[in-house]
Amino acid sequence: MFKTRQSLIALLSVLLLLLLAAAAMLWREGGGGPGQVVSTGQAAIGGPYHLINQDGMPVSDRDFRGRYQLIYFGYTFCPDVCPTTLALIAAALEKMGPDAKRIAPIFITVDPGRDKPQILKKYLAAFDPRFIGLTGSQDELSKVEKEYKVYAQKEPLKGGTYAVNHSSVIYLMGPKGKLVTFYNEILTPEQLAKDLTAKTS
Amino acid sequence: MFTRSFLRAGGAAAALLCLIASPQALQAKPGAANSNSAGQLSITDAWIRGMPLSVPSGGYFTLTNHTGKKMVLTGADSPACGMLMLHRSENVGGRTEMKMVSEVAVPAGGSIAFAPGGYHLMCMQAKPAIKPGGSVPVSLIFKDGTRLTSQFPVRDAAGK
Repeated sequence: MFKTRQSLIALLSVLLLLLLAAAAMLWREGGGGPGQVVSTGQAAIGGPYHLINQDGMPVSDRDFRGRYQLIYFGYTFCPDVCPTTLALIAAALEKMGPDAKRIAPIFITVDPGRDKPQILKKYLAAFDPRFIGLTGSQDELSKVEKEYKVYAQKEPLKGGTYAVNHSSVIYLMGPKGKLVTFYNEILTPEQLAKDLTAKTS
Repeated sequence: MFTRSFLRAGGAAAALLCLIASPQALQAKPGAANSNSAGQLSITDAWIRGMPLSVPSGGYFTLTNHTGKKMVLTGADSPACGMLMLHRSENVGGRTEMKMVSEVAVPAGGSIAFAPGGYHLMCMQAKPAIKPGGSVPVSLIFKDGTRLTSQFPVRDAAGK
């Protein structure tokens, strides 16, 4: 009799544990509890912008509906990473040939104090005529930086000038303005061209 | 595909690549040896970007030390630059930071590459002499007083 009772308690304990486990699993999938990731995993990067281009004309994100935007945030006073990345984008677009037409390569400045439209125009022309340079007020740019989760911080340099430390990421936005993918690693033009072709076809 | 842990790994890998300077030296044109030696210190694969307007230009090179002792690079100058500084681009958790570098040690028998994405010369107040197709003299300055001057060919903004 003792044995049976013990076995019964053991059985009930196991059942209870199983029930608790099942409940915990259902609770998690149901979206409750701390630390639960609610989104599908796609970061909420992107958003509207109203800026001006290198010709001083107003440009908004809506102007690119139906096309892909390849967006890079940088600045012209940047001697190394920005020219390297712009050169990478230009070379990748070259490699894509006519497929590149689907993509609008956009350079948004994190340094509106120095990067006025005419500065952007001369600067970007040295890389590729397809580049669209965008600038505006610091307020508008700070808003866009926030939407794209861009870090940008002024750092004083010897000689009374400054650099801008910034996140160096290339964003690919889709025809409806939503994020498709982003690149923040060292890539060759071949690798970037291949991925862009795949992601925009 | 680009989960947080992947990004962290990517950022770490990028930072590591920046630290291991030599693979990036391969970006230089093959055979573009523009060497200049002070004893057994040599500069090869040197080039500088010719930028529009007077925005800063990035300068790059590989420095090889066969002097038999450690050499410490502390600065650079050039008649083509109002100010010339040693800098390093670093990927710190997905952020690009540009740090001024006060000195770079090159061990005896070793070499250091100043290449895109890593160590670079920052040429500010660039003179009109920095035009693609030309070349400008750049002097590397060492802690022991050694000055090593070399002609740096000027490439276009994209580095071609």
